[in-house]
Parts: sequence; structure tokens; C-alpha cells
Amino acid sequence: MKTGKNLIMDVRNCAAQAVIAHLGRAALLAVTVIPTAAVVFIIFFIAKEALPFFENLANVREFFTSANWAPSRDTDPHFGALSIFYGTLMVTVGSCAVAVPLGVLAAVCLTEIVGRKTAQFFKPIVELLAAVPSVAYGFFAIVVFAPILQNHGGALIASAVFFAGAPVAAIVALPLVDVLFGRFIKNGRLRRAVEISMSAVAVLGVGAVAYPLLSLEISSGTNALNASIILAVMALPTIVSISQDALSSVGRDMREGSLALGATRFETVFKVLLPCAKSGIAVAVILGLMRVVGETMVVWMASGNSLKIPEPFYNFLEPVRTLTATIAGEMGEADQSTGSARYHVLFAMSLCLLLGGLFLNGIGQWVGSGFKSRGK
Amino acid sequence: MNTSTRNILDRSFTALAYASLAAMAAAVILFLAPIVYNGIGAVVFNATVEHEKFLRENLDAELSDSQAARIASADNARKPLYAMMAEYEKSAGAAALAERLDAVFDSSVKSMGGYSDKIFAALELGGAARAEALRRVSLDFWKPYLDALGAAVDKSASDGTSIALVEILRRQGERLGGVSRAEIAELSKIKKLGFSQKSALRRNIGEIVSEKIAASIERLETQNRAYETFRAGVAELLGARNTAERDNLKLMRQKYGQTRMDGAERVLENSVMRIVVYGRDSNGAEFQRRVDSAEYFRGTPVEKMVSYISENFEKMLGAHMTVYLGFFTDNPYDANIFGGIFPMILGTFYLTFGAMLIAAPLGIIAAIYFAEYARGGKITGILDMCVGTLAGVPSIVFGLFGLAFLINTVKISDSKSVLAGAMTLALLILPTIIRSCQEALKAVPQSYREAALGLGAGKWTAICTVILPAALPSMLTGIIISMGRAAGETAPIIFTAATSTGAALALNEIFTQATPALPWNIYNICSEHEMAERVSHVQYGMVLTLVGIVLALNAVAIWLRARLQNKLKS
Repeated sequence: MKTGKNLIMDVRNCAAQAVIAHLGRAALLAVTVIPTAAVVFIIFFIAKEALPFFENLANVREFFTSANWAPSRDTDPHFGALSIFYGTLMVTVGSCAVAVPLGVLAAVCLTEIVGRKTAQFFKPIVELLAAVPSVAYGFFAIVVFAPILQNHGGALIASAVFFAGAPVAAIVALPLVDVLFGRFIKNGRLRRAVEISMSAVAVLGVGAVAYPLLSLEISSGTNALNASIILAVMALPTIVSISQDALSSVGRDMREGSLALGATRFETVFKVLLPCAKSGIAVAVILGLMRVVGETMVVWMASGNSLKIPEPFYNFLEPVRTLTATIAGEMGEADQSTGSARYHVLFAMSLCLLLGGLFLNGIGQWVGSGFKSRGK
Repeated sequence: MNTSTRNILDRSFTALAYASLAAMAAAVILFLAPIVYNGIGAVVFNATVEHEKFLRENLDAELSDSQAARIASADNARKPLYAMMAEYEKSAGAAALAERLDAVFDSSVKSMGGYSDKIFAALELGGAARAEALRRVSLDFWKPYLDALGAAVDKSASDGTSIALVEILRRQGERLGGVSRAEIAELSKIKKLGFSQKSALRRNIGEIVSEKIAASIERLETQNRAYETFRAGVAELLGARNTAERDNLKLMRQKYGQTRMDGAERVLENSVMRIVVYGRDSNGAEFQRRVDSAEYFRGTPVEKMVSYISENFEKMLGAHMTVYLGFFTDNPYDANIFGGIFPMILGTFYLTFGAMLIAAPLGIIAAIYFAEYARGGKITGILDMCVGTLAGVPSIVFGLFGLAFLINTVKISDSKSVLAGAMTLALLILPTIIRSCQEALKAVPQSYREAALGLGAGKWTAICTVILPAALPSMLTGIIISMGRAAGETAPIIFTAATSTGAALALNEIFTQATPALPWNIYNICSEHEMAERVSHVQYGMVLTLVGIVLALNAVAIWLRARLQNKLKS
């Protein structure tokens, strides 16, 4: 039986509990705000340190249009970062050209072609590639890969072009023959003969392209190609695992419907699955891209850090320099000179990098939210 | 399209897809194989006795009897070589040679007395004719000495006296001044000499000899320089000859020879069996070329040393396989050429655990808020979006932020410190931790919550006693994976915590001091080390250690996850 006193105690306890609960909630919220505060602070402080550089309009024009980079000279310093922006673009494009097809293909293979067991076996491999620290990749690039590229670069590139290009060319040749001659050649055997010969011609064509590459001389093993390939390997796990998620979220009905209509697996993948999963794959590519653009150590170690824009502009065998590598390399020296012109221009660079990252991130989240809501 | 073509297309596409998987697996193998193989070589390798000498004298290692015996036998094998070198540098023939040359020198000086008349006649002449005449006279009485000197120089290479001869010639060159002064005094007694006559005598009487001596010294020194190069190569291979010499040297790399046989073989090949010698081309410009030592020193005592070294190479170094676990627990010496990588491992440990200690509680709390308290709405949306945004910030920007905010603005330490680095890394891994903890909390079945609430537990009690324990293993997986990421990140710690050289920090120093850390030192040792060749095993060892730490953390996480899945299934 409750006495009045007990009842009062209960009420008090309840009130106290409610207060505590509210306080607790507030404390939780306070902690939860930390990431948001961090984002705001990061943008604020990077912008604050970058602002002194952007106040001078002549500087800004030079920054984006000139390739004359000499920020630490006492007299007549130059802040032209064009070649650095270009280097970033170059390794990004180069690594995406390798990682996107390979990654999406691997994801398709893991979700659509191999069995569950094999997929389970490959999961740790993908995770391992993702977990390896970037400086270890950079080390590999500079100590192991660069000398190989420098000494046997021609043979390496030629064989890579041949072994990657020949199957693709053969596969492309087949439907081409079908589309071009399918109407005229009704005889099955003859058609097969034409197909085989056309594939052979395609393979030979790739061989003809690859052969002159054998004698290619590479002056330095640390160049845009080296950085691109290593970055591609780094971006691969991101692209593979997110593409895998996107592909496996496509419903069984789509797959079965397509197969039931008589489509081959190849057609199912290209005509049904990939279009269905395209926003998820786009997110995968964007996240891979972000990893590449923001990566520091690999490009710092492997790209050669040259301030020249390669001649011609698509020459991946020339050393280049990227934003991240410049920041890492020059800020280390600028450590004591906090407040100098160089300090500010490096923050200006990182502001560009940050805004680029946020932009990509925004696109990724936007595309991703579309993909999620459609998934539901 | 034709059905068969479609089938072929389908099959070849399948093959291509398999090829992409194979490429990925190949990438892993190609990447890991050299790192694992060479990295193990930092710990298990074919060592020389110099390795044990270094350990004994710097790290107070206790040597076993067999090791001591090996050092003794290696020292014994070196003795004949050092004896040869000592003899060559201070050859027995040198004393006799000095005596002989001194005697000829003295007799030439004495014979000068007989030429007084000719000298006076020459002094009567004026200007250039006087100098020319004096020169001719001096050539007469110096002739025996000049001949002896020429012969000595010609024979010096095969006698092994070229080093001693330089000394002798220097000494005799210095005596020339005294000789001409004595001669002037002598002649003045006979006849009074004018000032210009005295100075002509001073200039010309020894000139011919000093010219000859200078030319001989230059020729001998070219010879000796080649020997010096050879000797430096031997020193690089074997280290200091004895304890006294060792104590006088400053750098470890001078005190001790090659500690590893692979390095020793490289030095033998590049600096002992083949050396760089200097010569002058027809224009007098100096050039250098690489020659075969045995070829170059043929017919001299040095040839014997070269062949002795090539025959007794392994004996002198006492090659043996060893396991050097101290690689993980010893401090580095002399720019990582000797010793281990302990400070870097410790620094990585501090940074990783520091980041985890800061980020894990914050991440778990934020995840609890998102999963259990947030009720949707705009504010939650913004907070949630910012977690994603933070995950998208490039890692180098975190480093700059740490520098601009934590160090330059808040001034949590005067300059770089472990604390600043750990906080920066904590920010970096915070989004990952939040996301994985959120997932873990979401995976806790709704029935657990309902049951807890139904039993009368408050929300907080339900979270603490039911939901968190259920989600913990899965949370731990995410946290451990984030730790792996923090351990390997380099860019954020460049400006906030890392220093390339430095000792291991004590726990109370981490708030104020920068530390060496594996990722940064890996960069440093393979991009900015002056002797990259000598530390290549350390490079690989560091990378393998770092990759090993990160992969071990990931393996633990995967194991936890697998256990969890089994548990959920049962």
C-alpha cells in the first residue's frame, strides 16, 4: 500500500528521471553535433587561411591560368598552379580509365557469374586491397613498380595493351560482323568463318598497335602512368564493393524476366542489370573518384612531381604533379613559415581540393539518395 | 543477331569477367609478394659478424659462444689483409729507401761546394741569362739525386713504397729552402753577394728539384688515390680495423662494415673489386673511370690484397643466417642503417590508440543518437549529411586543418605532437565509426527493444543493458577496421604529429612531442634517404610491419564478424 510520502518520492523520482533523460539526450545531441561542427570548422579554417591569397585578384588569375610555380622565391614569387591542376586531372582520368571498367566487370562477375562460395572467397581480397595503407601502395609504386616500368616499360605496356585489348577487340568484332554481313551471308558455316577471320583481324590489329610499343623508352619510372595504375588498384575495392551492392539490390524478378525472355546472361547484364543499377554504380564511381582525387601518398611518391604539363597533353609517360602532392611536399617545408605567401597558397589549393571533394560528395549523396529511394 | 554469335558473345563476356577477377587477385599477389618476401628479409637474413659486433657494442647483446667464436675467426681471417695493408702503408722498404735518398740528397748538397766557381760565373750574368745559367749549374750537381728520385718513383708501384715515398719527398722538398740558405751563406764567405744575386740564388738553386718533386708527388698521389679508394671500399666492407680506430670514428656506418651479406656482396662488387680511379686527359681536365681493381693494381702489392679479399670474402665476414627480432624492439642507429624500428612502431601505436580512444566513444554516442533518439526531421538530416560530408574530406585536408586549427589556433601543443595527430586522425575515422555503429545498432532486432521496454526498463537502461551489448561485437568490428585505417594514414599526420627522426616517446611526452611513425618514416626512408640502397631491407621491413599491423587488425575484425554471423545463425 502506497503512503503519501512514497507517492511524493515516486513523483520526484519521475521528475528527476525526466530531467536526467532530457539532459542525457542533450548530451548525446552535443556529441552528435561534433561531425557537423568539424565540417563547419574545416571549411572555415581552410577558407580563412586561403583567403589572404584570394584577396589579390592578380594572384587568382595566375593561380588558375599559369603554370609558373615558384611560391617560395623571396623576390617575384609565382603561384601558377595550372600544371598542378592538370596533373590531378590526368591521374584521375587515367586511374578511372583502368579502375571503372575493371571494377564494374569484377562486380558483375562476383554477383552474376560466380557462385556464392567464390564470391565469399573474393570478399577478403577486395577488403585487403581496401585496407592496405596508401603509403604502402606508394612504396610499392616507387620501389618495386617504378624500376620495372623504367627498365621494361615498353614490353610491359605492349603486353598490357595486347592482353587487355585483344579479347575486347575480338568480342566487339563479333556483333560487328553480324550487324554488317548478317543479312548477306545466310550460310552458317560461312558466317562462322567470316566471324572468326574478322576476330583474328581485330586481334592482329591490336597486335599491330601494341607491337611498336615494345620499343618504347621510358625515361623515368615515376610518372603519370605509374600513379594512375596504383591509384586504380586503390580505387578498385571501393568501386567493386559498392557496385556489387548496387547490382545485388536489383530484384530477382528483373533478372528472371530477362532470362525468361530468352536473353543471354551477357544481354541481361548489359540491357537490364546495368541500367537498373546505374545510379548505384555512379555512386561507386564517384566514391572511387574521391579516393583518387584526395589520395596523397601514392601520387607524391609515384607521380614524379614535375611541374611541366606533359607534351603532348595525353602523354602518360611524363612525370606530373598533383594538388595533394604539392600540399604535402611544400607544407612540410613551410611548417615554420606559417603565415607566409606559400602557406596561404597551399591552403588555397586545399580549399579547391576540399570544395571539389564536397561537390563530388554532394553529387554522390544526391545520386545515392535517388538510388536508395528507388531501391525501396 | 544470330543465336550462336550471341552465345559466343555471352561466353567471351564471361571469360572477360573472370579475367577481371583474376586481375584483381593478381594485383594482390603482385603487391604482397615482394613486400612479404623482402620484408621478412629484414628480420631473417644472411648476416655478417659486423651485425653481432654492432649488437654487442651498442645494444649490450649477450653473444653466445659460437657467435664469439665466429667473430674471432673472422677477425683472424682479416689479420693477413690488415697486415698487408699496414705493410703497404708503412712499408719496410720505406726506411731503406729514405736512407738511400737522403744519402744521395746530402751528397748532392755536398758536391755543391765544387761548383762555386761556376755559380759565381753565372751570377755575373744578368737577367734571364743568369737564371738559365744557374739552372744549368744546379742540374749538374743535382743530377745524381734526380736520377735516384726518378728510379724510386718508377719502382714505387711495384715496391709498394709509393705512400712512403710521398712522405720522403715532402720532407726533402722542405729541406730545399735550408739548403739554398746554407749555400748562400757559404758563398757569401768567399765573396760578398749583392741582394739581387742572393735572391737569384734562393730562387734558382733548388728550383729544378722542387719542380721534379712536385711532379713526382702528383704522379704518386694519383697512384695513392686509387689505393685510398680501394681502402675506403675495404673499410666500407669490413668496418674499422680495430677498437682504437673504431672509437675515433663518429658515424656508425664507418665503425662497422656491412651487416648483411647481400649488402656486403654489393660493396665487394662495386667498391672493392671494381673501383673508381681518376686521371687527366690531354687537356689536363680530370675525369674518372671505373676499373677492375685486380687489373689496375697488377704487379703491385695491392693486387695480392684484392685476390686475398676475393678468396676469403666469406671467411672475413663470417656469413651466417640469423633471426634479428630486435628489428621490432631496437632503436635505429645512423639513419636506420643499423638497428630496428621500435620508435616508429611505438609512434604508430600511440597515434592509433589515441585516435581510437577519442573517436570510439564519440562515434558510439553519435550512433546511439542517430539510431535510437533521432526522429527524422531537418536537423537530423543535416547532422546525418555532415557525417557523410566529413567522410568525403580528403585526408590531406584533415592534416591542414589539424595544423591551422589544433596547432596554430587552439595551440594544444607548441608544434607537432602525438595529441594533435591523434585528434586529427580521430576526426578522420569518426564518420566510419559512426556509420558502422549505426549499422550495428540497426541490426539489433526491434523485439529486443520492445522486450526491454516491456519489462519496465527506461530507454537509457534498455540501451545500456540490452541494445549496446547486442550490438557491441558488430560495433567492435567497425572500430577495429577504423583503427587499421588510422594506423596507415600518412597525410593527416605529416603536419600534425610526425617527425622523421626522433627517439621513442615516453607516455607523458605524447602531449607535447612529435613522434616518428611507420607511415611517415616509410615515405621518408624511400624518398629522402641519402643511402637508399643500404636501407632497402629496412624499407621493406617497415612496410611489411605496417601492412602486417593493418591486415592483422582487419583479420581480427573479419574473425569477429564471422563469429557474430555464426552466432546469429544459431
